[in-house]
Order: sequence, then C-alpha cells, then structure tokens
Amino acid sequence: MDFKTVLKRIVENVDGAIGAGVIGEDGIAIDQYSTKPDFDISAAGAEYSTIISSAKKASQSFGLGKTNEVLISTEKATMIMMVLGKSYFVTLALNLDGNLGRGRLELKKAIPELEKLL
Amino acid sequence: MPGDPALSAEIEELKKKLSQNPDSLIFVPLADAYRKAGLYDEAIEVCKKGLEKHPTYTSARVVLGRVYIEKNKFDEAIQELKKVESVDSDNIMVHTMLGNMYLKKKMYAEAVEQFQRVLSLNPEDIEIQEKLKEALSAKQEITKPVEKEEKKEQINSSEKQGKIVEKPQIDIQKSLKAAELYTKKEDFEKAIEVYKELLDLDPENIVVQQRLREVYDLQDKKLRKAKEKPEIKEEEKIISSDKITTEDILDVMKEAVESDRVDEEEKPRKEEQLQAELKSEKPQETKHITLSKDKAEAIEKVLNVLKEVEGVIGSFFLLRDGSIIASVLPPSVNANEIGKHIASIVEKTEKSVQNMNQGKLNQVVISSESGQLLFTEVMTGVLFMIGNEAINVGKMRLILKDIIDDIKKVLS
Repeated sequence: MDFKTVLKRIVENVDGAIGAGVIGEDGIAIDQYSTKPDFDISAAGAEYSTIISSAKKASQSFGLGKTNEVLISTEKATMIMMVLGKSYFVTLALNLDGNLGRGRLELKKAIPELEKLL
Repeated sequence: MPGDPALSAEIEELKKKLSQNPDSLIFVPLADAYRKAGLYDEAIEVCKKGLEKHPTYTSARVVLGRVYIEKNKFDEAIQELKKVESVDSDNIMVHTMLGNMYLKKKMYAEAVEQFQRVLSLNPEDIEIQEKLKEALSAKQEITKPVEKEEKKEQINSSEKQGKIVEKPQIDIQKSLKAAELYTKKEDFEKAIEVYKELLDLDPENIVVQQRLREVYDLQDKKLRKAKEKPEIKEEEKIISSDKITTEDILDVMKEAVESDRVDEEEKPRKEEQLQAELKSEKPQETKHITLSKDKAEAIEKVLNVLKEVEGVIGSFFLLRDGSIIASVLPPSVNANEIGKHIASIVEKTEKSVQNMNQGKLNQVVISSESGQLLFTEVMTGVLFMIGNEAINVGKMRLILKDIIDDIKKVLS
C-alpha cells in the first residue's frame, strides 16, 4: 500500500471529490491524486500549509489545544484538511455539491493507514 | 536515473509537466523527487532555475535547504532556510532543521533559539524538548569554564578587598515585567532576550513559552509592516530605539519592588486604577470603527441569540483592521487583545485561498481538541464563533446561516 493508492481510494469513494494529497507542514506535497489535470495540490502545497498554520494559531489564541481539522469553503470548492502525525496533513478538495460528510468520514478512516506510511 | 521505477516515472511525469508549463510551481515537486532519488545536482539546478522566476516561493527554498543538508553543506542550507524563516516565522520544520544543523555545527546558542521557537509553536513536542535539553546542557558546558574563571577572578578580587561575595539571582517577576515593558515599547529584541534567559532557567515554563511566541508574532507583524512602508518604518525605528530609557528600567524595578509590598487590601484599588486606565485608552483602539453605535448594539443582540445555542461559547464580529464591533464572549477572552491577531489570521487564509485560484473565501471551520472555531465573511466584516468540543460542525454551519442573514439586515 502506498500514499497514492490510499488517496485514490478516498477520492473515488466520495461524490464530487476533485483531489486529495498528503502535504508536509513545510508546504511540500508527499503525494497526491487528482481527477482534474488542472487541480494540482503539489503546486499549492505552501498555501495549504499557510492555512493549517493560521488555523493552529487561531486555536492557540483561544486555548483550544491541538488542531485536528480545518474545513474551508470558497466560491469554487470545499477543502477538508486533517492533521497527520506531528508535521503532516491530508487534504481533500470537493466540488461545491460534493458530499462533505462522506469526505470527512473517508479521511478519518484513512488517517491510521496514512500515518503508518509516514 | 534512480533504481526505484515509481520514482523514475514520477520524475519523468513532473519533467513533462514542467516543460509544458515552464512558469508553473511544479519545479518544487520535481526538485524534491530528484532529492529523493539522490540526484542532488539536478535538484539544486531545478530549484535555482525555479527560484529565479519565483524568488518568494518558500517551499522551493525548503527543498533546496534539504538537498544541501543531505549533501552535508550546512552553511548553504542555513542560508536558504534563514531566508524562509525571515518570511515564515511559524514554519516548525524550518526551525527544526535549523536547530538540528546548529546542533551538529556545535552552535548551541543558535540551536537553543531554534528549538525554543519550535516549542513555542508546539509545546508538546517531546523530541524537541529532549533536543533543547541537549543543546542547553552543551551550551552550559561551554559557558561554565568561562564563568568559573570569571567568578574565580571576582572572588579573588573581593577577598583581597575583604568583601562578602553574594550569589547573583534572577528575579523572575521583575524579568517578566521588564520583558512586558520592552514588548509594550516595541523593543522586541530585548523582550525576546529576557524571555530566553528565563527559558534557559526553566525550559518548560509554558507561560514564558507563550509570551515568547506572542513577541515573535508582534515582531513579525512589525517587520511585515516595515516591508510594506519602508520609509515610515525607518522613522518609527528611530523613535522606538529611543523609547527605552534608564528611567523606564528603573521604573520597572521600582514597580516590581513596590508590587512585592502591596498587601491584599491594596490589590482591588490597583485593579480599579488599571481598569480606568484601560477605559481611557479604549477610544484610541476603536478609532477605525465606522459602524454606528446603534448598529453595533443591534449586532450584539444577534450575537446574544447565538450564545443561547447549546455548545456555543461565544462570538464576535470584527472589521478588517481588527476592530471588534460587537462581542459576546466569556470573561477569560479579551476581545480587544485578540482582534488584530484574528484579523491577520483571516487575511492570511483569504490570501492563500486566492493564490490557489479558489475564488472568494466563504467560511472556515477549525476543529481542535477542546473546541471549534468558525469564521465567515459578512459584508464588510468577519463573524467569529467559538463552540465547545461537543458542538456538531454541521449544526454550527446551519445556525450560522440565520445569524449571517440577521447581521446582513443590520448592516444593509
């Protein structure tokens, strides 16, 4: 089992999913799987990492402890990011009509597998 | 080419993508793939070429730094990672890599600084706690012989003069007050110095770690502002360097000595005074507010409705400059203190979403160990909601729909 296989499974199991990726907190993608050639998680790794870092800061400001998950909805897509181990996270991007609940569930299910691979 | 066929295929695919779009950021994953394959010269070449086109893309510098580390070229690696650190001070990986390199280079003071920054961002990192201890004890081993010699000399000269030698002591409360004053006067370097001295004494002090992180944040904000308005900042720099005077330091020391003597009866009076001072400062903080008092009160009413919802701890509505228009928060949260900090977090997130070509940011939900945060744009401002760990994300989003409509009605 490798990262791509797990990411592919997540994307295929969620209606409206565009792509998924495993990214380091330094912004460098470890692996990704995308159904759209123009949707490149690797190239936007630094932006995802900035979002995670901002979320962690916000959480700390209110004394809410460790950040586990960030959910972002924009004009074009919804992105779910879940923290993996100490310094990585997995992200899943969905169309606006994508199944968000299913996406979160698939990510949660995949986390132990992905953590083993890290 | 590497022995691993999957890695070879990945390199070929990335090379193809890069040749199709030479201006894209795909050079970073390609350089990283070369690094994984042990093709360091190719990785360096790709990174350097890419950085000529995208000099501010920090991920490329991180990859370049990693390549240099793997080639044992620590000086070059430090040079690259320091550039990343100057624009992204919260990058845990960069601080960790720098700390590890300084440790290898036996530059213990620098290693301590880097590990302390990691711990200020993630206090629970046991591995870094161990490394910090290692760097601190190595640092002390180096300074001990020098200190011993200095002490010996002091004792000798004192003995000759018939004086009694007293052991120097650091008063933690006074040091904390001095650091607070330095922070207030924007002399962040000195504040950081004081907090670091305190962390040398007690590396696991969470309060000091938290304050150090806050000072680093403030310092970063100041640097970012300076980059935006260099000519104005120069003037401010001159003023701020003149801000701390000997009188100020003496005042802090006097204040600390006096506060030691304050008995319990005097405490409430002092608190009243402080509250009065804070109230008198309030108009300065809220000078950017453009909404009328009536509208602010109407928004607060809406937020009060939200407070009644099970699982909601509090909420506030703020403008882009960090001014809090209305808030319904528990007493432990000081809305005025966090406003600007939160506004900068919102701004960073929006910018990242734009850079990803995902259009306008609508809503962000952050789930943490002990609760959830949600922020969403509402016309000219941002609505922020805090929920406890039991609140359901879906429910939170649903509640927000009505609240947003109500705030829009007030604002329009």
